[in-house]
Amino acid sequence: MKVIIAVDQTDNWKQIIEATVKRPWPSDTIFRILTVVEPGDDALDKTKTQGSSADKVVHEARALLFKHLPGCTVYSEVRKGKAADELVTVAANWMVDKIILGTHGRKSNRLIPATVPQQVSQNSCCSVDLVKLTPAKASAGEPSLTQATAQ
Amino acid sequence: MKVLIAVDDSLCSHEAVSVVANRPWAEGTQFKIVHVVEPIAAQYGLVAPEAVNLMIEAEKKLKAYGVKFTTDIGDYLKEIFGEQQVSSVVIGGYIADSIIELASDWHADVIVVGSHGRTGLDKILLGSVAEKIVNRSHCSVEVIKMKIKKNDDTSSKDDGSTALAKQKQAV
Repeated sequence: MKVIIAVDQTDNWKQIIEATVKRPWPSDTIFRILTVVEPGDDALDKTKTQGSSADKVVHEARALLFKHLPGCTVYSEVRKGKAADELVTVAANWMVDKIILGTHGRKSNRLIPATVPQQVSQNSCCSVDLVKLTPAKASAGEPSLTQATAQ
Repeated sequence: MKVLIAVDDSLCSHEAVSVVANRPWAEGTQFKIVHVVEPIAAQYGLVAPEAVNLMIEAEKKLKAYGVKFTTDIGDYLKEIFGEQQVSSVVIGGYIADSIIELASDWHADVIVVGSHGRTGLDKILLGSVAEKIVNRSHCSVEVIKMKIKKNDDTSSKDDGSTALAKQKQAV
């Protein structure tokens, strides 16, 4: 099974990895953690250096996922371009079975363009798992996966 | 973990059930199959008073049919995951609203829904339940899409009725 985990350069990746770990996976699952740096972002040039936020996020996410799903293969990648387009293209080229990405549940209409999760779920050729992101979760009493790992 | 599987009797729903059935879920995972029957009057707008009874009768038949195929799907999943882990329910109401409400009441961790993959005019006219659920759900949503098989003319003509039978044969 081939799975793309799409993360952005915010702390939301932790919630996405937490949700991924809770899902059932065949032992031969190959994960590809992907973050897309959109043109115009300051981080664009920084992706070339080791200290970039995009690089840091995908490596931390990869390490966390590999720790909790040790039998699986985990790759990480930083791409540049339009997030939704890149995700759909990589999914099609790599013939993935599923894309996992976070969503805040924002609505679009004729005036407000579709969000990245909406575009991906509409245009991708594979199944899409949309993890509901909850801003309050990080401050809640329940220990998160990353906190548990740190302990 | 609680998994809510929203189904109708379409091929994409049966594909979603098949995908769920083939995953190595953790022990203790609970599954609820839900089918929603929309009020027929809402679909056809204002109608003659004489037609109301016919619509009520039609709704009853649709619910009875819904109970039949959700029970079939439930039986199929019970064979895999166990009697206690699977339940099914048929409810009346608007599809997306009802599914989101049930997911909230049942404290579902994830809603699994098949997608017809409608685009363009089809989507504008018929809408997308999956999209509405994605936009408004309080929990994670997995949209399962049909795998497109080239040189398989039967897939586009199949109304889904044979899919469950094939799944049962596989079990």
